[in-house]
Amino acid sequence: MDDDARLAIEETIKHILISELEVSPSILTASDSNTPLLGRGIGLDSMETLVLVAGIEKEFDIQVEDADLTVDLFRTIGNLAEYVLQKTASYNGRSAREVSR
Amino acid sequence: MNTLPEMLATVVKQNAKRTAIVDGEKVVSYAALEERIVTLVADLHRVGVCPGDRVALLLPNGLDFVTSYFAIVTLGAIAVPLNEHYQQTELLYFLDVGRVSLLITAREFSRLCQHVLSRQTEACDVFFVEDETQAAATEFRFLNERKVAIDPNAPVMYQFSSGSTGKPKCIARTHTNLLCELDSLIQALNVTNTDRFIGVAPFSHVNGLMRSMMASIRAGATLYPLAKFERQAVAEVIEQAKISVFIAVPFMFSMLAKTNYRRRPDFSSLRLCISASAPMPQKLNQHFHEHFGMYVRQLYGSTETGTISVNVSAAIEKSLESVGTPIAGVEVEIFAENGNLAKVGETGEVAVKSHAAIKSYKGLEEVTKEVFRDGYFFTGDLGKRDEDGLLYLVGRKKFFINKGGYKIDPREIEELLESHAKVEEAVAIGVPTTYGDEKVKAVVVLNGSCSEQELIEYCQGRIANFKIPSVIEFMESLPRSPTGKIRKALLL
Repeated sequence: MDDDARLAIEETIKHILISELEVSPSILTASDSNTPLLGRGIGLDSMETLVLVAGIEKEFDIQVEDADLTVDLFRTIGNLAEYVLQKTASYNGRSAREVSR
Repeated sequence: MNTLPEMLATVVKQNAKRTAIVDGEKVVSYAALEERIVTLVADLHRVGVCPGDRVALLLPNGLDFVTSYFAIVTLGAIAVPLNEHYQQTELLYFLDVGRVSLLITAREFSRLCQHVLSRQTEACDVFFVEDETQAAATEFRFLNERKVAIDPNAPVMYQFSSGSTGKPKCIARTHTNLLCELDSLIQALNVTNTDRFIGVAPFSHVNGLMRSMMASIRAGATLYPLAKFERQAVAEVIEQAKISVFIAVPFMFSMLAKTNYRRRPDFSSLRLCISASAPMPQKLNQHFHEHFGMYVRQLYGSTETGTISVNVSAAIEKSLESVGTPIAGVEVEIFAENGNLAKVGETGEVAVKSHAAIKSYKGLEEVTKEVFRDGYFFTGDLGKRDEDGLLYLVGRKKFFINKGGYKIDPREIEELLESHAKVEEAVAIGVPTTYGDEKVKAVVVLNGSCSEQELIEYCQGRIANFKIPSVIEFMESLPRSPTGKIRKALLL
């Protein structure tokens, strides 16, 4: 179940990379979960990672903390997707608890 | 008050107990800032810094940057702020062109500095700010007695300007240049010692340095420097410290407006949001206004001239795209293509006359003749004026890429790509993005098999990351005009 969700998030991340950062679709077609977002992978710089994060926040209605914006977060597309998965889960959990009070 | 040390002494005297800088947990009054500067002056004197020496700064925004900058200029030496994102080759170039004899930096850059200085042919020492020691009382006395006589027209700072051709040019600005700019800027923005500045635009660049760091100090205001742009940290400082003046680049305003806050931060303390270094698109400005209830005003300047104009119009919503009117002491003319003064609404090249501007490029006679004419500096920017005298910038005569406020000379990228064995010819261009920035795109003609990835890897470590192309396209040949000029517009 989580694997499916993670893959769906990866696809959304790729969509944001194309729509917000105009990354060439051909580069993303050749990419997978293990493709780095920085340097030798997609090649994002620090400003572009912020644009990507703003797109993710809007798409998944989450807030990414400054402290989480480390090189490790952008190590791979899969790593970022895993972070988003956990973040959305914690947001959903929080909402559920808030509702149950 | 003719020099920066004299300016600082006056400001300290008038504002001794007021808070000068809040850098995280460090809260420093003007009197304490002066003590820190004197301590570092003694340290730098001990390691042999003399008047006229070039001392580079490779430091993030922060208390150490401010202290180091003023310590350098107090000794009559020349400060050379360097972008902390530069890589080895770039640092070597700037250290060499600036004939730098000492590099002040932090431990986090020690490895980079070791690599760079091991390749530097001219003698250059490194000084880590954390190593500063307390100056002995005798040294304070010595320094007080041995006031360095400083010529107000001597260079106080070297900065580097991207040009249309060649490598970045060294801009030597004097004490007089900087003081003229600061006094006019403070007057235009009506800044007082009750203002609170956030310093998030890099101090290594003219925008962050002059319009945040120096303007704040000159006014006796309080500066909140931030080492890097982190959205929530910036929002938190603005809200909690009740920041009143926020001077940055369009990318930063855009990102703050796009951030998904759990609770929208309260920016009501801001009385001035000013964008410089790149055009602020009207759509982004409207977006910022929808979120935070205020418009961003545009400021226009260059490394050569300092601040030229700023839009302080009361009816800002009617002139969002204007860079306003010239600040005091600055004369702006627009010259049409035929060399005559442009009429209202007519586009031409913006030329500037100002006591804050340099008069020539050192050692570059040909370029100097080209851009410094009849007492004007010809900016290479295309602009026009409306009936109210408001200035609008409409493009560039000279071509460069503007990435997050950093001007990138495309030739630097082209020359690097063309130094690759498989590249026959390369063109670099700036492609506008949806978030008010430009991304670097390269179009390459190959003479052998080579992938986009291979070329990007080739650039890594040779130029700063922000200069590395986001996209590389391959073509059989480049589109050219009948005269052989590359048609860059067809490559967007």
